[in-house]
Amino acid sequence: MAMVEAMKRARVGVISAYPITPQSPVAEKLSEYVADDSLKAEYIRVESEHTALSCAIGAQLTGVRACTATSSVGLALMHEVLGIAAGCRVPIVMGIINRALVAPWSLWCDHQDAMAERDSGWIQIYAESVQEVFDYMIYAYKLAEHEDVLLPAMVCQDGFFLSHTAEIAMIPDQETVDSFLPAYISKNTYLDVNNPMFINNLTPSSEFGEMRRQQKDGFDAAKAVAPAIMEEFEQAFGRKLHIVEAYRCDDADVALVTIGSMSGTAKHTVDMLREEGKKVGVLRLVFFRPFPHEMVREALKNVPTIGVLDRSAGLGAQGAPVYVEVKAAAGDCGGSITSLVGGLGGRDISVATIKKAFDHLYAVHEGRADADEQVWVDVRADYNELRRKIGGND
Amino acid sequence: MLKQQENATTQSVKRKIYFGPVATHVTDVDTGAWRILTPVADDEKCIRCGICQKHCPLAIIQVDRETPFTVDLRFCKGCGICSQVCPKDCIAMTEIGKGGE
Repeated sequence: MAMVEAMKRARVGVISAYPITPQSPVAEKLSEYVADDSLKAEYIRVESEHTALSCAIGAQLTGVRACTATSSVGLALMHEVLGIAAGCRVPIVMGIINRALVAPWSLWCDHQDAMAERDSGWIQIYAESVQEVFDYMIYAYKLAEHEDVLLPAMVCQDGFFLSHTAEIAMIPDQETVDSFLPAYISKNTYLDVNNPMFINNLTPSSEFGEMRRQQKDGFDAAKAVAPAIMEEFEQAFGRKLHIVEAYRCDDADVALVTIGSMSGTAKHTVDMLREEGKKVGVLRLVFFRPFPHEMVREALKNVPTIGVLDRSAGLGAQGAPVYVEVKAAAGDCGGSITSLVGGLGGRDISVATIKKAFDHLYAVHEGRADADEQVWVDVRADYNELRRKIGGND
Repeated sequence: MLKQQENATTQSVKRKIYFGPVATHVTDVDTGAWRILTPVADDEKCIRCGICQKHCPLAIIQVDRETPFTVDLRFCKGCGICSQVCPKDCIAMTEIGKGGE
């Protein structure tokens, strides 16, 4: 609901969202606010997520903040339309409530949905807490709409662990939000019958590369302006936002890179392990796109043993998605980096899981385990035995 | 009457050069340049029924009681549909007036 409060405070003008677990309460709450007139917006009842995003793009191009949110296969269904928002530089802010892709069929938390769209040209921000869901949504509008950025943004929250968990959050009043986030004006192409233009026309190979290159500039600009917008945010609301958060990494022997709500548990576990004398730390990624590789390198360059805990498998690659990018950023700094996978399909990443991750990393640190071997931290060793044949001889 | 929103876009930042794929001048689309064969009607056989006009995908045929079969050659792509649907078979797809020259 923090996501909905942010959308409401951002004064979204057109809502087109298709329900999907665990996003459904977002679509439902928005409809209630429109019905009781506390949110002045058009609510379009679309028949699919593909249409939801298509409507949002059309709406935003007429000069309003469009609003949509989705999860898992809903995001997958939007896949071909994501590129339109990105390529036509339409700064939509979309809420993602992270849930595993199918198969196996799941309803629960996993980062595979958003990771599958890491090349979509959308900004990706991962919230750790319910407060952060609100804060980064409001922040994302300002970042996305910046005239040098003009990129659509996904603000991601872990399905169920954040979307269905009650936490206290400070929701600022409308006036304060208005002072930070003024009314939307289009800073690029728009749809206006009085001044028509043909948007997303066929582009020949003589121009395509240049247009794609402009999008890269948008991402570079996002990295450049993100800190200043965070300062404005802190001025307005009194809370500090992060691109990455390095927690007790300065003198760490072993550090774990985390993303999403697992980070809170990880930092708590680090405190416990520090009490036991273990020099451990957490590097939490908030921004995944653009990937803050300079900051990641800076935070990890003196850490001898690093693990990256991904909440998606990134099958077929050398390691899981976040690992691959961290390794590119900091792999040549002298420390070792290990790919860890955990929390798939809604499995809770508990203190015990984080401790297991650190136990393994200490084994790597002490030369008892191979850093380059990927470890699926919370998957049972007898994983092939889970579904036994019915009848027959085993 | 549909209620139009306030023209929020008229306040938009005016740019000379937009990011992304956009065409602001539609004169760039002279599809006649693509034409290979050009439709020519035999006005003697033509009964001015207007079936060709109704079927032209670009709506660029003019024909009625007063006007003989006339095609806007800036846009005619030579698809041949008019020739196919004519009940009097009086439209020929010819090499006369090839586009793109």
